[in-house]
Amino acid sequence: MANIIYGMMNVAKTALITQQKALDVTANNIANVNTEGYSRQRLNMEQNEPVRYEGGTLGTGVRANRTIQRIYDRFLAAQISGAASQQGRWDAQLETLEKAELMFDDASGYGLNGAMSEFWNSWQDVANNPSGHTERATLLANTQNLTLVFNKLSRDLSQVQGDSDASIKGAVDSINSLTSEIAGLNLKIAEVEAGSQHSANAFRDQRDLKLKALSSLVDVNSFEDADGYLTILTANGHTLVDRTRSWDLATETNANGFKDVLWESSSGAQQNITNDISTGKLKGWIEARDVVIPGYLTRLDDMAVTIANAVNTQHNGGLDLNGNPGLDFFSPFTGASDITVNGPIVNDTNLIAAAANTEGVPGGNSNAIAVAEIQYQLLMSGGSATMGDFYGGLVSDVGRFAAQAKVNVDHQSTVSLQLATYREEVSGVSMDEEMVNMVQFQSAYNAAAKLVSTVDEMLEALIAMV
Amino acid sequence: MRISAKIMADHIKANLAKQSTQLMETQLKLASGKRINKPSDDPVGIGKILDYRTTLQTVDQYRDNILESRTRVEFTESVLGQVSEFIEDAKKLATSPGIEDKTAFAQEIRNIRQQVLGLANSKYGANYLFSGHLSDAAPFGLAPPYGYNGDSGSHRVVVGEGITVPIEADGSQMFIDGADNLFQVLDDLEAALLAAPYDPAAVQSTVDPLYRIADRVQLARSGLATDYKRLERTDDYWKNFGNAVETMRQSVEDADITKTAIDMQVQQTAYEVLLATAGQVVQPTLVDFLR
Repeated sequence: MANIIYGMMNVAKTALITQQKALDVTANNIANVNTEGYSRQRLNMEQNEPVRYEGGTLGTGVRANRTIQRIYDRFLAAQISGAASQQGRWDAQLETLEKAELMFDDASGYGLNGAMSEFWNSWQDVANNPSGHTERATLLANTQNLTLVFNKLSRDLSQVQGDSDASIKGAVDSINSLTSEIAGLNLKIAEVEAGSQHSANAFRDQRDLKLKALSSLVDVNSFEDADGYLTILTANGHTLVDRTRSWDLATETNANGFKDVLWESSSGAQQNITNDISTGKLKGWIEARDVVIPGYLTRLDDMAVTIANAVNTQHNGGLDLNGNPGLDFFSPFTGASDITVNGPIVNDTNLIAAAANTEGVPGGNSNAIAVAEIQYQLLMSGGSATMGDFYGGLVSDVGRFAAQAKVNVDHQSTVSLQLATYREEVSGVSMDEEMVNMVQFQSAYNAAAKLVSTVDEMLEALIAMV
Repeated sequence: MRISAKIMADHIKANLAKQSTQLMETQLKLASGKRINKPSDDPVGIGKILDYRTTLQTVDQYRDNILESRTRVEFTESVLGQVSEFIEDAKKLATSPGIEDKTAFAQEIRNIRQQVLGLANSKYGANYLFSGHLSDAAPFGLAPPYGYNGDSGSHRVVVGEGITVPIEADGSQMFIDGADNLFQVLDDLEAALLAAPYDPAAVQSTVDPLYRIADRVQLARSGLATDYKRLERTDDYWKNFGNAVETMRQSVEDADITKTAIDMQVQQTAYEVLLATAGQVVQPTLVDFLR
C-alpha cells in the first residue's frame, strides 16, 4: 500500500516537472513572438513506462520528449527562398531603372526633347534674320544647351550604371559572409543534433533566415543531408557551402571597367559566373548595368552622332558671313558624352553658315533652312524615324522598363506576403493560443501540486493511525 | 487557419503602405495638375506627349517666322506704296501741258529722285530691303548711273514642314525696266526740264519708261499682297492646328482635376477606415480577458 502512495508522489513529481517544462516552452514562444524567423516550439508529452502491480498495470506519470518540436514546413522554406530571389531581382532592377528614369527629365519639359526643339527652332530664327548677331548668339547658346543636355544625360546614366556596379561588389561581400555564417551554423546544428537526441531549433531558424537573405541576393540550390548539413550550390552547380566549409565569390574588373562575379575553387582557380546568375539582386543589378542602361546609352549616342553628322554635312555645304564654306558645326566626338560645338564657331558666331553656297551673304538663308529641316528627315532606326520620334521611343521604353519592373515588384511582394502568411500560419506564434496553453499547463501544474499535498495528507493520516 | 499577431501586423503594414502610396500619387497628380509625372506613369502616353510638345514648339516657331515675315512684307509694301506715289507725281509733272516754271519743276523732280532713292535703299533692321542676299550693301548707288549692287536673291521664310515662301527682295526687278533705271530716268527728266533750249520731246521721252517702271512697282506690290494673304492664311491654319494639338496634349497629359479630387477623397476615406480597423484589430488578445 505504502509504495502506491510513494508512487503517487512520484507521479505528481513527473507532472510538476513536465508541466513546468511545457510552461517554459510556452514562455519562450511568448518571448519570441516578434522575433524574425522564429518557429514556434512545442513540448511533446508522453506517458512513462507503466508498472505491473498485483495483476494490473499502473501508469507512472508523464515525461517530456527530449526533442522539443520545431513546427515548420520545410517545403515552404524552399518556396520562400525562391520568391525572395525573384523579389530581389526586381527590387534591384526597379531601384536602378527608377534612378535612370529620373535622369530623363522630359515629363517636366526640361529634357532633351525640349532642347532639340529649341535647337531646330533657333536655326529658323537665324533663317529669319541671317545676318543678325542676336539670332546667331541664341543659336549658339541653344546648341550648347543641347550638347550639355546630351553630355549630362549620358554622364548621369553612366553614374547609375556605376552605382549598380558598386552594389554588385557589395552584394558579393554579403554573399561571402552569409555563406560562411551558414557553414558555421551547419557545424553547430550537427553538434547539437548528433545522436538524434536534441533538435537545434534556434540554429535552424537562424540558418533559414540566412538562406533567405542569401537567396534574395543570388539564386542558389540547397538541400539538407541526413546529418543536418545544408549544402548550397550556385545555379550552375558551383558549391558555396558543403558541410562546414564555404567557398567565396570574388569580383574582377572586366573590359568595360565593370565587375564580373567569379567563383573561387579550393585550388584558388577562378571561374566567371556572371552570365550564369539568373535571379536575385545580383541578376537585377547585372541586367540593369549590362543590358538596359547600355541600351539607353547606345540609343543616345546614336542620336548624338546622327545629329552631328547630318548638321556637319549640311553646314559644310553653306557659306558663313565671311563668304567662306562652313566648318564642322560640332567638334569630332565619340558619342553623347562628349559632343560639343566646334571651338571656332563658339568664338565667332559669324562662322555659322546660314547661306547656301549658291547664295549671297549676308542675306542668304537657305542653308539655315536646310539645317532646320534635318528634323523632318527619317535618319533614325534605319531610315524610318525622325530624331524626335526616335527620342520619344526611347523615353517611352525608359518608362516601360521601369513600369514593368514596378509591376513585377508589386506581384512579387504579394507572393512573398502570401508565403509569409502561410509560414506564419504554420510557424508563427499566436498569442491567444499561447495564453490558452499557459492556462492549461498552469492548471495542470496546480493540480499536480494539489496532488502532492493530498498525498502528504494521506501520509499524515497514515502516520496518525500508527 | 491559425492567425498569429504577426500575420495581422504584416497585412496591416502592407495595406497601409499600399494605401498611403496611392494617396501620395493622387496628391502629386493634384499638385502638378498632370496625370503623367514620370515616364513610367504611362509609357505610351509620354511618347505621345513628347510628340505633341515637339509639334507645338514647331508650330510656335512657324508662327514666329510668319509674324516676322508679315512685318517685313508690310514694311516693304508701305515703302513701295510711297515709291508709287512719287512716280505718279513725277509722271504728272512730266505730262503737265503748260510747263512755265521749269526750274521749280526740276527742283521737285530732284526731290522726288532723292526721296525714291532713299526709299529704295531702305533698311529693315540692319538689312537693306532691296539688295537680294547682299543685304549689307545699299542696293543703288547715290550718283549716276545709280547701278544695282544687289543680287537676285529673295528672302525665304519657313512656314511649314518643307514649305518656304520667297519674299521678293530684288530691287532690280522693281526699279529697273530693261535699260531704264528709275533714278536715271528721273535724272534725265530733271536735265530735260533744265535744258536750254527746252526740248519737249526729251521730257516726253521719259514718260514712257516711268509708266513701265510704275507697272513693275505695282507688280511687286501685288506679289507682296499675295504673299501677305498666304502668310495670313497659313498663320490661321497653324493657330487652329496648334489649338487642336494642345487639346490633345491636355487630354493625355493633364489630370482631370474633378475626377482626381474625388479619387483623393475616396482614397482618404479608405485610408482612414483602414486606420480605424487596424486600431481595433491590433489591440485585444486573450491576455486582456484573463484575470
